[in-house]
Amino acid sequence: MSRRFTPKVVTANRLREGDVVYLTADDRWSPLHHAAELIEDEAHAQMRLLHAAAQKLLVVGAYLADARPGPQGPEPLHFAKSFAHAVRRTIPTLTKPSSAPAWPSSLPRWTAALTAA
Amino acid sequence: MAQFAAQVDRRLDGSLTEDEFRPLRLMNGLYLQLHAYMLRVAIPYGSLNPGQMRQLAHIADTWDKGYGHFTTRQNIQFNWPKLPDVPAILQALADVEMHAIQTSGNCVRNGPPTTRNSSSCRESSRSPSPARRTTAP
Repeated sequence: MSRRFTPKVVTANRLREGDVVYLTADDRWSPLHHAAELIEDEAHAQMRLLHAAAQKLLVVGAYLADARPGPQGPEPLHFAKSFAHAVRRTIPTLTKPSSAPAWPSSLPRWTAALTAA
Repeated sequence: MAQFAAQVDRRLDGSLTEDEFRPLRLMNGLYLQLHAYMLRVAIPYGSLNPGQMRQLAHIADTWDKGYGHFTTRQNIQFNWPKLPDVPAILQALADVEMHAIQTSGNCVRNGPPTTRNSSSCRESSRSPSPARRTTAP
């Protein structure tokens, strides 16, 4: 009996910036996981991966990552990606603040150091 | 420096594939990790002079996010450099007699403070310190 296919998204790093990006259904590369195309068919996943891997001047290291449907779009299945996804949504660590941001009172105070420039 | 700058240009215009470029960038301390490129800079013995420290701060402010991470081996990593900027970063490092060569892979590496002037292994007959002094990472 064949195993049930786990839905996938295509992910890669941008060649120039190194940022993680996800392939959307309309062939764009988005930094947002929930904007990715959720692929539920294995053959289609392989085709999308080949399509991504061919874009050698845009992205590097394309691969298929497990995902699941979510209310706003695909959500990552792997713990590390789920954690990073949650951190990205809730903690502004990815941009250098022009001034000290107001820190959410719901987060431990020590985490404010993560964004200190 | 010029050689690596040319290699980056060739990677960006597609003349070099990622498989061809990977060993070249790793030789210069440039990784591609899960979320971004990472450049690891050698700090022999973890010792910096003020000019070098200021240059690292300048690099962080100019080409990264305003900070770097010191490693357990007392090097420093910049976690968000962009590939086209890396040759300029390496030039800025060279201006203060620093580099990122051999900060990855199977080579003589920096060590924690306890190995500063001795081998990390009591039974070892040779200390890696002289090699570290010359190869830096």
